[in-house]
Amino acid sequence: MLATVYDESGRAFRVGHQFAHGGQGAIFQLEKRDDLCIKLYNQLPDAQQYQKLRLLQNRASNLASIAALPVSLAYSEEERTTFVGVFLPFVHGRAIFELYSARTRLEYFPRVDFRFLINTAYNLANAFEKLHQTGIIIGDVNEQNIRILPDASICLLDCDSFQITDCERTYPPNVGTPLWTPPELQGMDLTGVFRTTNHDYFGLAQLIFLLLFVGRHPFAGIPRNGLPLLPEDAISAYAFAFAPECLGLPLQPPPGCPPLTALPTEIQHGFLRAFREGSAQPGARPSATEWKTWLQQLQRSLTVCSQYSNHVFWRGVPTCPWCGVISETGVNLFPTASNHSSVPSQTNLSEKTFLTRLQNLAVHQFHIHLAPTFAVTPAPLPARPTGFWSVLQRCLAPSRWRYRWLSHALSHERHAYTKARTAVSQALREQQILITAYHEEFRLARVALESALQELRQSASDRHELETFFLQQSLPVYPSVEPELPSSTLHRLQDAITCCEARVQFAQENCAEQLQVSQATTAQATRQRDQAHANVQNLLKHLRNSSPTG
Amino acid sequence: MTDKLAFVEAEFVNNPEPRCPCILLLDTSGSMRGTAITALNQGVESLVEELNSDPLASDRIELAVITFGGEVQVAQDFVTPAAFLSPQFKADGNTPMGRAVIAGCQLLEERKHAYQAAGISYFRPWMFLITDGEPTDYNTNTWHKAVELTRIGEAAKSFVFYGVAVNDANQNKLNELCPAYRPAERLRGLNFGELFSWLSCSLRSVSLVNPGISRPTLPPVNTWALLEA
Repeated sequence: MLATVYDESGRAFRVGHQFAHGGQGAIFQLEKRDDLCIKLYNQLPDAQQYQKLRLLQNRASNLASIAALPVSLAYSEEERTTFVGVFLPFVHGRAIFELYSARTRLEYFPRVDFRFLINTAYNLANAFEKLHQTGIIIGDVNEQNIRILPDASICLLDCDSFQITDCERTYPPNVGTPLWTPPELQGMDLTGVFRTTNHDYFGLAQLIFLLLFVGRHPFAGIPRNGLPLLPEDAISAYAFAFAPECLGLPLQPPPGCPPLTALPTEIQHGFLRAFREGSAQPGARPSATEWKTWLQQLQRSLTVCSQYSNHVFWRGVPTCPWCGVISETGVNLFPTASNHSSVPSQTNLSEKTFLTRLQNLAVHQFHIHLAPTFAVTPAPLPARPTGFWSVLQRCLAPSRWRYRWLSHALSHERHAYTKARTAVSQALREQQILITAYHEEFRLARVALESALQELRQSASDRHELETFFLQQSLPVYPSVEPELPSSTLHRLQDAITCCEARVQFAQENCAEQLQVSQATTAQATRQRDQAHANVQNLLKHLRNSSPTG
Repeated sequence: MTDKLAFVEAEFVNNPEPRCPCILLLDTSGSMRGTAITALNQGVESLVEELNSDPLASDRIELAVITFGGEVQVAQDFVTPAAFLSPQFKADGNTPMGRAVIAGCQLLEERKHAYQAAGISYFRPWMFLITDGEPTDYNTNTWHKAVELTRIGEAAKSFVFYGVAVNDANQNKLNELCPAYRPAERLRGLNFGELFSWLSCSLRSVSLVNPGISRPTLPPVNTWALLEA
């Protein structure tokens, strides 16, 4: 084994421990470097693979944030004659399967809720979009070559299997993973098979599904006819287990996970388009851009459960799907982090504290922000028309010439002005909608609390009845040493208030964040409107100057 | 009964990865006494360790152990490697191999039902029999039933059966359980370490990776098997 390797500029690195290995080579740490590692090949790549590595290396700086592309080729001696491998950025974080399975998520990402999974899905779609834009196809999408960082950003590994095209030829991935291979490629020898974006979109949809359904595979379900399907056979048969029953597919959804309808219609349809029969047609599966839009919309329409502050879900469903899983299986997929409410603290259970906390639950006053006035300078006048006839007209009928010169620009600017004005009012309306939605969410949170308070009053009155009963029967009042309310009831109230606080705070943060975006849009639209307005005024002024009557 | 069902479900909800069940049928009869049983214990331990070091494999592979030495015992019901409590096997008694195979098939069927009820998909299960002797229930009804079960299981692709012969094992009788296209291999000496290392690699390649082609190729057996010239 090599002890020292050299990069393209002749710098020496000492090879450390091996920490991963793949079909083509092994990956080693570098001593005293935590930002780089090295992949040493078992068999030296041929000329084609070498060329491919070069191409990938050229894209490295542009795509550094989403893919661990080779940063330099590696040589066994300082003179750089024997190529042995590539230097790769060392990517921290965890593999994506350690995020989407609840068991490992609780270990490595203990505090995250559903929003984190949506963010990860969005960042994945974004990475696919970016790579496709630069002409790269991922090819071997799988659960082991995607790393997730603590801020939900993602980085793709094993990039030497990417499909990349230069002006002369396309370098195919040559590899695949059965569980991740789209139906149309299942069972094929993938050597030399060219992949398309539609193939990649199968993998993307699977990844997003696994994230949003906490580790459930789209093709794993209960066989309707009792005949089990091996994972690859289910994919080949387009047996999407969460499809509506009327489609007559061989699998039905597994127990203990939310139904497909727990997500917005666009996302449901997106999964059907990605997995159903006919999805092999080029362009049939939803693109990364489409997923980005839907996931962003989902991110904006979430709410928090009234029972558990860590249960975040789409507010289009009437009840919390994560609570549904609890009542079905007893498993809490998003348990509240220990400093929150599900483990009630034993201290400070006085009614006075509750009253203070209840009073603090006030609605935040959000306002619509109009953009400031912008100091704009009008755009320069359009270029003067040239040519013989124009010069002639300018001499003979200057005002008419001027009118013809400027009127086209004027009508264009007027149109732009009308459009920008509409955009401004639309942006303002969006701000209004966000604020209204926040108020509605706040009201609902308070209503949820109201039911807890009602229950509390009920239990207090029950207790009173019980006490009266005991007194009538001349029995000792039990339990006589308890505080005025049983502590379990106090705990319930405490939980309800904590959840309400969390929900209100969530809604407020969400609203503030989205208002900020909306306000930026308003400002941008306003600037465009003001600019168009100034242009129109300027053109009108010039027209008037030339002919006061025209 | 209901308690057990609820427990199994919780496990599948927390970890819905597809499963790759593998059942070890281990001969712990009196003839394994001494270095053989020690080597076997160490081999099983190293198998569990190797599987545990691979985060995805440890989510997917489930191991169960049935021993046959005097009586047939489920030493370990199906669990992921992290929950596998390395049992220390003791060598004693005769070799009821046929009964062990029947018990293995039953345990496997039960597990498959649990997967199906929970909507968990699974890869083709493995049944791995290791023996150093000769079945003491040979030519009984039990034996005929065991042969029938492995024949049907292989034909219906409901599991893959591997037989490994150690020392003086009667390979001909063992081969009655194995399909003709995959006769029993003979272990070189007591190389259980290499054998289980091979098993770990094979299980991982079945459940995870695919170097180039759609059907994974298993690693060569020459690290542990006595190849006939």
